[in-house]
Amino acid sequence: MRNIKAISRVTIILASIIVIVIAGIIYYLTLPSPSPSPRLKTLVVAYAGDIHTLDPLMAVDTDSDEVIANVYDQLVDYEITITPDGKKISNTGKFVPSLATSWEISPDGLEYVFHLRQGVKFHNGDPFNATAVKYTLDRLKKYGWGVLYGTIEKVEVIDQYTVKVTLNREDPLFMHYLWLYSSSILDPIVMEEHGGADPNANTWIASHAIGTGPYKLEEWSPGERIVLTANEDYWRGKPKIDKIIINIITEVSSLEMGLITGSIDGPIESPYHIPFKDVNLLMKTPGIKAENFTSIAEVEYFGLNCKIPPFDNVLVRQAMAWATPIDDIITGAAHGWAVPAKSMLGKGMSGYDPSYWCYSYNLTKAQELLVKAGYPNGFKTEAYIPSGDELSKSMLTIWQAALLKLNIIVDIREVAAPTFWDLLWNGKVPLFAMSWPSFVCDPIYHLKFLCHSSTIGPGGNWAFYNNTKMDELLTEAYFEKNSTKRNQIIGEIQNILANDVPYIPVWHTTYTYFMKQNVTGFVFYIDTLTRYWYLDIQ
Amino acid sequence: MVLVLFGILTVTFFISRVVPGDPTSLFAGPQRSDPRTLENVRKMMGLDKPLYMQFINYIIGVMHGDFGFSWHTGHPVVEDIAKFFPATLELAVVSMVLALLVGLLLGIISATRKGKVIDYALRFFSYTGVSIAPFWLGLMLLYVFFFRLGWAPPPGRLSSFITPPMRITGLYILDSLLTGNWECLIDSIKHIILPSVCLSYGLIAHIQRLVRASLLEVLQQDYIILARSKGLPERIIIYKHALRNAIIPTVAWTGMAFSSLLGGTIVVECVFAWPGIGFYAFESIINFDYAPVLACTLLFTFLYLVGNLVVDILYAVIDPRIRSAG
Repeated sequence: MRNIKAISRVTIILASIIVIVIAGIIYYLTLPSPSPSPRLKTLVVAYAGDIHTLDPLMAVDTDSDEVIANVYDQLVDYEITITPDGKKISNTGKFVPSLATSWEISPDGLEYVFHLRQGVKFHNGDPFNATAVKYTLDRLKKYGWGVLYGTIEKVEVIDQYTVKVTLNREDPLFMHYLWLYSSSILDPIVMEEHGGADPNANTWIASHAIGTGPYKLEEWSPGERIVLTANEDYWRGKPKIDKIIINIITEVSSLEMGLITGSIDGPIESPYHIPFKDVNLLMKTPGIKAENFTSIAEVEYFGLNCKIPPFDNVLVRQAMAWATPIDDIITGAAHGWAVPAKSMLGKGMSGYDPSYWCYSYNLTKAQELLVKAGYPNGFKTEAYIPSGDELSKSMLTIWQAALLKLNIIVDIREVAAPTFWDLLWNGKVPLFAMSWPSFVCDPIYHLKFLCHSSTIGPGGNWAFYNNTKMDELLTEAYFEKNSTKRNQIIGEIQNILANDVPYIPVWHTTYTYFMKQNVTGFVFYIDTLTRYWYLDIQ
Repeated sequence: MVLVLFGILTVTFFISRVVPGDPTSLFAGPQRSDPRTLENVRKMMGLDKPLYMQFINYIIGVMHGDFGFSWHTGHPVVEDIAKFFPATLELAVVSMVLALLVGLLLGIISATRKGKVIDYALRFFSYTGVSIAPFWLGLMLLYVFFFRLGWAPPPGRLSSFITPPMRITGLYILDSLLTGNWECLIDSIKHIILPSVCLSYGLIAHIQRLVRASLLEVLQQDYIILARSKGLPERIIIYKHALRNAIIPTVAWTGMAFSSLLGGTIVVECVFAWPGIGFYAFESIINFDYAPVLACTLLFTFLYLVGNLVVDILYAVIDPRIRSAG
């Protein structure tokens, strides 16, 4: 009897535990979720990847760039204009004051004098002044990207709120470089407390941010979330949204479910965070609105390595251009969310002229050129993509199928990202797909990385394209001040590119930003980064 | 154990360095890779030194508790592991407890009702458990319980509007309990339910199959036949005599499975936005971020070795023959 009671007791206890666990699960699930304090306006955003660094000098991924752009300020900003259809965009043709209230440029273009905004403080209370600007620009000169900041000869503090920058040669785009997020103004006091300007010695800045921007970095939990809180003393006025919570959700389906159910407010950008294939579905989702912007300084393209046979033969490259089904690729890979590209320039760049690009999808013409080039029976080649790049894979797969009709067999190889870049820089990749967005809306800035012989390899000229005439035209156009003459040179450049075909332009991306209906004030910047200061929640 | 760890470390160090790929591309940036920037980044990452010097410097650092710097998170590796590992530990513990409770019970039911409908149903359940991909299951759970029914919270360890509890262990449930943060406690429990159900589903299936198989084998033993012939009730035979012997393979498997869980389950962590060590290790690998890769390898090896040791100890606790032999 006693044993039976003991056994029954065991069974009852075990079964009770199970029942309690299940009851507990149901109870906790049905508890209401916490909501934000009604006094604090909070915007919940999501990134599909974590940020990597908060050092403006070293940040290269979009997520890091966006946080930096909201925590720091630069000397100048772009004017915000309203398009005919009511959208707000940055006007890259006009600078407006930011941390600099005014500036003068010497007639020879070598000296820039900036008059700085007074009464601005860093988030920790340190004063913003000429010393901070000098410190930042000196750091950029010494450790920054040489292509942008290599022309800085010296930076002088004239007085507490005046800085003079002297260049070693004229640079017509220098003001644009000062707008970039990489030119964010740093607090020299805090930098020196944590190792100084040298990024080798100062790793503190990689995970901390003390700027003058509209938001302060409250928290960065790697892999989990970033929290920004409004800078109440921001010189432009306190942001309307008190807190920005950026959740890291790497699984796209989970991110989209959050957007649709309303647990994420947005803006969430496509195609960077949300793939093209899901845009149409989200556009039809009630409660979500979408704002679309066709890129003005970006092009998606195929690259052909001019050093690797058979692409060292210009006729073969031209044949490849005739064999590219642009419409099919836009439909299949971009799901319609792109416009065909007829130039390697961005669509909004001065001098953009689609008339030079004579190619369309014509396999007969392609075959004729292959015969002339000595490849009547096609050939075998390889294309490489970095692991996880589903967009490039889609593009190349569609192209692969079209090229097969000419007996051109493309073996698409997916490798780890560092391996891909290693191979690309060293000229071992015959074919690749790439996006080229420029943060400066200038055709020569855009093209010099792709087409100048000095940028062959790591610099951006991954087609290993070497044309002396192209080099000369790029340099001439960079410094040409007469816009008519400049556009003529740019036309000639586009003509050469259309003949030499180191690159095949495929599309200009349509960026879509998804957000809840009650999120207002969105402004599209050329760098596609969201500036939360403009946003409000109704 | 130290020799094993050192061996693993050495192999991993040199293999990671010889694999083709340049991590400076990701941290200098593919579009801003002029020679000066690349050189600076290489120096920053310590990659300008000869390989043997890099290894020696690393070993010296490890002996001082410095496991290097993670370039893809911008934090020292030790800080990152202290942040990511507790998240995985918490998920692993909850999943394993759930799996043991349910798996044991189902295994006993299945074994004692062999050939009956319930046995077939439970065996079918176990087949689904070992076959279904955790990734798919996780997405389905999210889709049904979060997206459709609205019962479960969105992915993550906590709701957006909850501040994490004061850090004591890094386990949100435990820290909330210890600090009396009831709002955080409830919220962290809500958030752990779906990922732990997802993880434990496969574990329950394995445990159930193991318990069933070993219990059926034990029930064929002579001493069980003797116990039956003596007229002991079936429940006493199972719970008092058979289960203790049948559970030994389950203990072994559970120990190793738990060590494996602590190594992180990247797919579940990604689906549920759970910032665990698996996610961290995966991001480090694809970014060729050497220091965290090495540290995670060391950690997983250490956990595996400790798991082995714990299993051996548990064997001795459960089986007196091993104790007396020792």
